[in-house]
Amino acid sequence: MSSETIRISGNAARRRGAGKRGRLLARNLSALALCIPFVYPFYFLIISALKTTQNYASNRLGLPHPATFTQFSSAWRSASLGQSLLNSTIAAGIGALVTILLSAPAADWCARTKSRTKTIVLGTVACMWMIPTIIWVIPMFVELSHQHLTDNLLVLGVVYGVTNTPLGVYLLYAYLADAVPNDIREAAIMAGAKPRHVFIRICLPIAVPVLSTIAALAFVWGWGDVLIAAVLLQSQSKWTVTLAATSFVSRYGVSIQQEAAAAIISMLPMIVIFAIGQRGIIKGLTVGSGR
Amino acid sequence: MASVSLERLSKVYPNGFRAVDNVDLEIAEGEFMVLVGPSGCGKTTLLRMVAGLEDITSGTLRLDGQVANDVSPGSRDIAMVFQSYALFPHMTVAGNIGFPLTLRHVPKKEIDRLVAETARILGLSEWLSRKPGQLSGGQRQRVAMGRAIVRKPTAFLMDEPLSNLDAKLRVQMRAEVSRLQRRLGVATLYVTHDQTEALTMGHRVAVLRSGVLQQCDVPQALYDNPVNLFVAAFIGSPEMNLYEAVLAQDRISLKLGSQEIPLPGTIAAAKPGLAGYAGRTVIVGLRPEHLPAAGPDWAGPVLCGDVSLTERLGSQLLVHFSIDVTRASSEEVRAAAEEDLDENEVTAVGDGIALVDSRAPVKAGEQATLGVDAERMHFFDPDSGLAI
Repeated sequence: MSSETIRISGNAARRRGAGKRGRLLARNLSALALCIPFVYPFYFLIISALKTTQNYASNRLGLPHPATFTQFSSAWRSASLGQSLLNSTIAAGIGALVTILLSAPAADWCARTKSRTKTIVLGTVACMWMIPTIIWVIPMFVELSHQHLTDNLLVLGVVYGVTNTPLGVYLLYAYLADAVPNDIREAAIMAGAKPRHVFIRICLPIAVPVLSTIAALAFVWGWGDVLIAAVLLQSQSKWTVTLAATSFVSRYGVSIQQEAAAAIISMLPMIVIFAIGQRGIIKGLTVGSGR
Repeated sequence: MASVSLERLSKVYPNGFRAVDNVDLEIAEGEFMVLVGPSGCGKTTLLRMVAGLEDITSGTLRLDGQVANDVSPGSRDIAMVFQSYALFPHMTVAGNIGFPLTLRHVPKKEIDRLVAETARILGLSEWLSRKPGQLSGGQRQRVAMGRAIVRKPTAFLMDEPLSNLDAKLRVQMRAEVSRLQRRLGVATLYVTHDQTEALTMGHRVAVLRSGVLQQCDVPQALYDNPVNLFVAAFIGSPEMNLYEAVLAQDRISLKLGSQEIPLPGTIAAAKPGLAGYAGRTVIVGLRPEHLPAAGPDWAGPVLCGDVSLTERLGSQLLVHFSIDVTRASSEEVRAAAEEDLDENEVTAVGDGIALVDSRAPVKAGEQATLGVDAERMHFFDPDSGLAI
């Protein structure tokens, strides 16, 4: 083979390599471009919250120069974010607890019954899930105010719990049908267990992973709610963190930087929950789907 | 008094399907009763009816003499071992074994003692703190047994407990379960579709077909004297060769295709019912092991067949042969043959199977002369399928 031939084939290989790298680069850039709509709001929130008012007015999209945390301290004080974080924890926590308490027995019944009523129950539960919140929140407010049950974090938590029960029933039902086969239930019954023993001593311990997922999702949902909290809570001292964060938006103006700082503060607990439990939450969501 | 007594027990589903049909069965104290039959014959349904997991449509179930039809499963004092073992995955081995005791509020110290004793019997002592997921199939099976025996019940119910084990472990566990049952002396109803398991483990074996009890007897009697074609075809591996044959008018010979087999005089005395079949067609049954290779010193009747295949089993040779004869193909025989066969069971590739000495000069593609042990022939009515 002549040196000319070797040179030509070497050039062709280099061209092929360059083409491959180019395609890879184009793919990566496309993927990054697709991320922009999701990443931009976070970028905007963070840089806005870290800017001085002058810096924000002169350069809205640029990096903060100099960076400052004054917007955070100001938002914390003016919106009483400490109290509202506590309120959110109470309401979302009660919501998660109520979701578990309601969905666990319902899902267990659906998993063990052979009755056709199960289909009706599951269908009704699915319908409850599909009705937009705005449809039922006003009638519920009217009814609760008649009973003097508005402006109450406990009641808000119970409403969160009831709202998330359909999700809990479906996730737990899928899990129990998969992880607690009939043989296991029958083995417990043959050993002398009553249905309540089977539920408490067998099903619940086996379902701990998915119960954690349901609790985490219900908590996050309650934490992020604005609509129900805005309808049911009147006193500022009872406001949840998301409601408090919206207080920077008024009819006469918007304090974008304080709003951004409050939004970041309200998001932090959720980011921590997801960072810690991400794997478990995804596992809990996908269980039963691989059968 | 029988520990478990089934009197005309029936199960009819709402769609009219009769899964169990008037079954009468008595299991004495300490007896190991095996319920065997093809898939879908109702044996598991019957077991679940005894357990209380299925309602009884009609008939009476007595446990220790007391009617138990409406007693809840947990109150029947019966322990059950499931095919899937059904161990509680979140509990340790000790937790699984002790579970029935904790439900009965037995003091913690006593539970620990009984669990330790049970674990010792089953060779599980060093695995007590393990979870079921960390155990092998055989160990899980033992844990399931442990959970059953720890509370010393009136009876054990076992639903194909060895079917999930590999062949070697199954043979080992078969012996262990038998030994344990004999040691504990508790009445046991054991369901299997594997006739080898049935014959080797049971004091008595009950054969079920389409929900109807066909025969219940000690294994050898079942093998030697099947009451009908179904039992004859179902019990035994390799299966019994069943042919249509014509009994001579004088009942001294049998026409099997083009071949004539002289019958010994003792047959008439042993099977007086044959008198009514003179000159008529009967179904004749020949077990493969009763068709030895006929050497020069064989004095009895012989059957000549074309060998299509031979399979060496070490000590014996399995000979698949063809003869010009009509194989019995009644519903009973087909039902028995439809059973899922285990890997060690054999089906004929020709018209019949013979089990001969491994050194016998029998080769595929040649004709073989097989001796017929006429004393051990079985005769069945071609219409009713009943033994003559």
